[in-house]
Amino acid sequence: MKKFNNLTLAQGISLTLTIGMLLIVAVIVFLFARGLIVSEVLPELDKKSHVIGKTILNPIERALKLGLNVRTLRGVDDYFNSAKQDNPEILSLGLVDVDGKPLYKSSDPTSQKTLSKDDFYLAKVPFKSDDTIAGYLNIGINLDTVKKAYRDSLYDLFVIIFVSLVIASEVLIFVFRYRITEPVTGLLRLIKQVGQGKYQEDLRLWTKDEIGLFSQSLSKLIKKTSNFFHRVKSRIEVYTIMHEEQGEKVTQLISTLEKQNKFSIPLSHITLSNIFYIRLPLFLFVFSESLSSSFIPLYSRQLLSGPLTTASILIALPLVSFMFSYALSQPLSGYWAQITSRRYVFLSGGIVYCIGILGAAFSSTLIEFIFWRFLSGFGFGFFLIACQAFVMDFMQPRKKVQTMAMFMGGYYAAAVCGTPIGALFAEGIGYRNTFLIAFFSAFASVLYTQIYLKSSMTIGKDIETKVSFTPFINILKSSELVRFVSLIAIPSRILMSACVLYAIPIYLKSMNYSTSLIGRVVMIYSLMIYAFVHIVSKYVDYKNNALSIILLGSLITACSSFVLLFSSSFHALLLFMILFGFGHSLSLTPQVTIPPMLSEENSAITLSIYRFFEIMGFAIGPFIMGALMGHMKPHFAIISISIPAVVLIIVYAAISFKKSNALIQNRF
Amino acid sequence: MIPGLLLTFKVGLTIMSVVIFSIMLLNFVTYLKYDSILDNVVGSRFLVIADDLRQTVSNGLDLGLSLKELQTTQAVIEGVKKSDPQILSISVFAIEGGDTGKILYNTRHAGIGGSAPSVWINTLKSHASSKYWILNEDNVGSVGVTIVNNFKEPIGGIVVRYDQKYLMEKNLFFAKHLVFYSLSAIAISFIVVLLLVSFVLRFVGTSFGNMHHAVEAFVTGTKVKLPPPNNEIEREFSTMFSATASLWEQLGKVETMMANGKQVEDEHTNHEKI
Repeated sequence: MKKFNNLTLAQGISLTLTIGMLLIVAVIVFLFARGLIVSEVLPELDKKSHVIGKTILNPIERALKLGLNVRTLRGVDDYFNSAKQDNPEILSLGLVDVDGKPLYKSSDPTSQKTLSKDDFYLAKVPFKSDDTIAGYLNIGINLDTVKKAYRDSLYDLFVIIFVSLVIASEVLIFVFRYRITEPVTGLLRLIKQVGQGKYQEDLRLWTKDEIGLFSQSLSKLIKKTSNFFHRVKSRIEVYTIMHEEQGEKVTQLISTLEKQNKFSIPLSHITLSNIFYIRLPLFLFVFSESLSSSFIPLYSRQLLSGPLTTASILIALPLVSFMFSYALSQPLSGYWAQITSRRYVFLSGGIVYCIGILGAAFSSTLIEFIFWRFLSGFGFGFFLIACQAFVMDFMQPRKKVQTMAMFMGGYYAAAVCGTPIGALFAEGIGYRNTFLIAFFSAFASVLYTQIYLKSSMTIGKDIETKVSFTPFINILKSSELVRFVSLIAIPSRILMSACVLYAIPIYLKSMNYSTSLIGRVVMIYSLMIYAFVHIVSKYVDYKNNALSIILLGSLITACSSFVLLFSSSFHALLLFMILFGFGHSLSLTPQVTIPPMLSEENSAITLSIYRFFEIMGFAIGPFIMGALMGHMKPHFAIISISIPAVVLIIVYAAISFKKSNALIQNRF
Repeated sequence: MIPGLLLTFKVGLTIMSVVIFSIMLLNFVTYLKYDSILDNVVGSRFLVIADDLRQTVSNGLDLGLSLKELQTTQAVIEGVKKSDPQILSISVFAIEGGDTGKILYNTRHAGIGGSAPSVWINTLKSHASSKYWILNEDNVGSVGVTIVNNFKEPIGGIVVRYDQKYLMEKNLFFAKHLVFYSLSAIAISFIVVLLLVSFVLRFVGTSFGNMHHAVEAFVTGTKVKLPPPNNEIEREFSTMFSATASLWEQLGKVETMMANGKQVEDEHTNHEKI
């Protein structure tokens, strides 16, 4: 008999279908658009070529007016060469007579190159002698600008398709889980329960499709059955008093039914909740923050007017203020998430973030921008802690890293999508409007939490609710944890914010690369983590060797900058980003699971304090990089900040690795 | 209603919303690219014109004449304006003192002798090292080139103002076509998606649709005959359904028994009364 696990297959087929549809529709629209661009731009190019042609032909026509023969003109080749030098977009110039026989042509080396038809646009401009056409000037116009735009469009197409695929899989997985898989599993369980005679619970679904309608009718059936039983039972007593003999028979029958079945009025409600429910709001929220991650320093520089434009430390301040308030929010929101519903933390964080991002969009000075980023950081911290607490509620002890990977996977999927899309928006509609789009995305996430997660959020009761500094002090007493945080976690965060968020955008902008390209490069970091995080987490859970993998990953990240010792070119930078991201894909997720295992304190408190220090690392990074870049070239600054990180990792490996590893193995 | 239609429609709508989002994004980016290419090609055409005029003026300056003395300039710029209907005006101005300028030649005769807009002077000065500068006002684009004397000192400029409505019309035409292509592709893909999703999810929707109707009918007292189960959930439902039906039957019997008993008692009381 067919099982309902065909649903996994249905989900897979639907995802494939979406991907297929996306690819087909996107490619069709792109090809149409490309054809349209060609048909619209070429006539304009022709007009331009005629203007250039007329300009070049002016002295020739004047000479012909003076009665000179077109075939006996002198110095035309040299004249063409100098015209080409004045107009770098001209690839070739040639004068032909009315029959098309060549008369003169430019003779510089570039003209000798064999050009393909796609390299230039050939325009024919007539010239006159005695009011009759005496020949034509053939101008080959370089199509580099147009071709570069095509190339960029193609890259953009790839980015858009890739981002859409990630979004499609996030949305579809959510829709299938929320609308089909989880309700079907819940209903199957309930049907089995009812089949065994338990008329005590019902399943409340908010969906209005066939599954939702069935759950409503099933609830009705359970409720009616329970009511029916209790109605009959309530009459028995009176009936037995009046009809002793018959009454006994009926009472016996009812008590047999009561033994076989269980009834309850009112029914208790089963609410479905799944770890995956949090992925969509997390995705939307992080997406909104990532939209600006490729241009925060550039926007800061725009807001910083006057002679201070080059002050790299000042440009770093909005990043620092965001990270700083994000760090401050960690212990506070962690504590609040324990004593109140996760949803309140979600909502308050989301609303504060929305206000912050809106303020950032309308900032007119750097000071204002720094303030709004500070507010955003606070909201962001609250929201993320609430997500993390929600994930923790579902965490299975033997699958810690995999559960965190689900969280991190959602985070980096959003970062992968948000960064290049934000850069595209910034290039097209400006930084301020991109912030406005970020606001709408964050607001959608807040709305989602308010509507869909109403009943899924619990109140954490796993820790004491008293505010106290004792845990903080206890954690600081744990020497292994202190070493881990100071030698591994903080340096890795410093490197990330200093290099990826601060140095790379400024470095690429100084090389005159477009904002969309900067977005694509910054995206590589998140892409590497997104691609490897699940494989790594499974491997770490299976092998139980988190610390070794963290050390290896941190070392790869720190050493990746050495690529820039050999070359500071764009390709070297790409390689650096790939290695940097790969290193972090190994080390970031397992890192979160280490602190609770190195501390005697409650894991939630340990984690929130660890987060505080970790994010302080994020906050310091841009500041250090800003100071370094004020004194040296960006690639040297990246190398300089990496060297201490390498040293610290080696020190950790030498003094603490063995002991910490033994501690972790014991507690696992 | 066709069983399974609601679920199919909702999942199909989700898939389509992702497709529509991507297409909107693609359209947006393509439009921006088109706008920048067109702006570049058209703008550079006027730049060629402005640069050619600068060359003509420079030739005069090389002969030792001042800008004021180059009287043929007026006829030259009028001739150039006539050759391109998109040109709104061409102005040649000289820098006077530090931050002011005077328009010496203009295709709009009324402007001749007036002071040059300060934005021209400021832009010219801030672009001292570049060959040209671009200004965009409402629906009007301007390209300017700097005139320098033999000591390479800026002494004035030429500004070609052109109508950007033409560009906007072209952009609108492009956007309309893009939207048309996209909507057509989206409409076709929506139908395909609905068909395929209904094929993929038919078994879920139909199963739950049938079970929903069976329960509704049962609850309202209509006799229901379940079709043979096709999958695990239908099998479990069938078991549950028969168990509940049997329970209802037994409870119904008890209720009837009690009701009949009461009826007998009522009849007995009535007899006694008579």
